[in-house]
Amino acid sequence: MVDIPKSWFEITFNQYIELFEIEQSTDIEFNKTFEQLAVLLDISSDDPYFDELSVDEAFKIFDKIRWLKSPIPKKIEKDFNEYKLIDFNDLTFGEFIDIENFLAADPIQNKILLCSILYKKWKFDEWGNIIFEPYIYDINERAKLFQDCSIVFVESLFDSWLNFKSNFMKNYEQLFEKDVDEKFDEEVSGADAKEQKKLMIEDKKRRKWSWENLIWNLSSNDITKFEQIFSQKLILVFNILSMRKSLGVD
Amino acid sequence: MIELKGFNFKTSINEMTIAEWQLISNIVYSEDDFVEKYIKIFQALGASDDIIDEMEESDLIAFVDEFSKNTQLSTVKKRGFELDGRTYVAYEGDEYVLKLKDLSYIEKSCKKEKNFFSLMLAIVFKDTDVINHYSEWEINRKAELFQHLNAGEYLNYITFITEKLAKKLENMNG
Repeated sequence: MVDIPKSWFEITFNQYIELFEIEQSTDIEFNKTFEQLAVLLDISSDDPYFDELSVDEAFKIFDKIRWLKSPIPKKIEKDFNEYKLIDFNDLTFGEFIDIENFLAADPIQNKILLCSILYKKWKFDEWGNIIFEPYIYDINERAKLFQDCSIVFVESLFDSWLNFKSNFMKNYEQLFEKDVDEKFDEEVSGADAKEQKKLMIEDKKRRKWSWENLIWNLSSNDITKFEQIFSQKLILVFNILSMRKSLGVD
Repeated sequence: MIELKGFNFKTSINEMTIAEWQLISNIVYSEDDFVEKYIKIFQALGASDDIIDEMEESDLIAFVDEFSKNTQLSTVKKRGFELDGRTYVAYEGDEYVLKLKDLSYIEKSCKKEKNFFSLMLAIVFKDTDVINHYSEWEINRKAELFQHLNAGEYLNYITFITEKLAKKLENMNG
C-alpha cells in the first residue's frame, strides 16, 4: 500500500517544482498525471510499482489527490527551526534589491531564496530585544534548508511578500517611472517610428539598470559607498528618495 | 469480401491487417465528404483508378452495406502470440487489465502518430525476452511488426483501450 499525500501541506517545495515542470512540459493528460503521481508517491516513474498498477486502481488514487487542482492554502509561519521571519519593514535596501533581482530572474525556483533572505537566525540582546543576524550568510546554502519545506510554507511567504511589495510600491509610486508602452504603434511611420523605437530601447536599457542607477545616484557616484547604502533600512532609503524628489534634488 | 467491377474488395475486419484498418479508420475519421472518403477507401484497398472510374452509385451502396455489416470484433482478448520465433504477451492473469503505465504511453503515441493502432498493440504486448518494454526503439520495432497482424483478432484491444481512455479523460476533466 502506497502512502498518498492528503493535502498541499504534505508537498515539499522540491516536489512542487517537479509537479510544476511536468504541468508545463506536456499537454498529454495521462502521461502528465502518471508523472505527477510518481512525484507525489516519491518514487521514480520507472518503479516496478507502476508496471502493475491498473488504470482502475490508479483512478481511485487520482480521486484521492483531487486537491492538487485546488489553490495552495496560505499559512504564514513566524518561526522555522532556529530561524525567525523578519518584519518586512526592517528589510535593508540591499536585501530588497536582491529579492527583486532573484524573483525577476526566476519567480518559481527562487522562492526559496526569498525564504533564505527573510528567515534569519536571531537572539535576544542584553535588553531582551530580538536582534537578527547580519545579511552576510550564504543565501544559496540556506535556501537548501527550504527545499524540503511544505509548499504551503513557501507559498504563504511568497504571497505575503507580494502583498507587502504591492503596498510598498503604492506608497512610493511617485518614485517609480511609468513604463513606456511596450507596444509599438503600427500607425506611426518614418521619423516618428524611428524616434518611438529609440525611446523603447532606451527605456528597456534604463529599466534593466534601474537599481544600479539609483544606487549610483544615492552614493553620489562613489562606488565605495555602495555597501553603506545597501545596509540602510529600505524604508529609510525610500523616504530619503521621496524627500529628494519632492525637493527637486537629483 | 465483395466483387465489384471484377475487383475483390475486402470488407471485413477479419480480412484486413492492422495497417489496412488503420488507413481506413484514418480516412473514415477525416473531414472528407462521404463519396470522397469511399474513393480513398477503394484506393487504400488496392483498386486502380480505372476500376474506381467505372464504379456506379449501386456499387458504392453495395460496398457500404457489406462494409457496415462486417465490423464484428472478436470478444476474446488474445493473451499472447508467437511471431518470428518470439513470444509476445499482453497479460498473465484471468483477464486483461489495462495498466496506467501502458495507458500513459498509449496516450502519448496516439497524439502524434498516424499508426497508433499498431503502436497501441506494441505497448500492450510485451516481448518475453525483453526487459525495457517502453524504450522508443522497442515500441517502434514491435509497431512495425504488428502492422501485419490480423485486425479482426486484435482490434478488440484497441476499442477497449480507446473507450477506457475517453471515459477516464472525461472523468478527469469533469
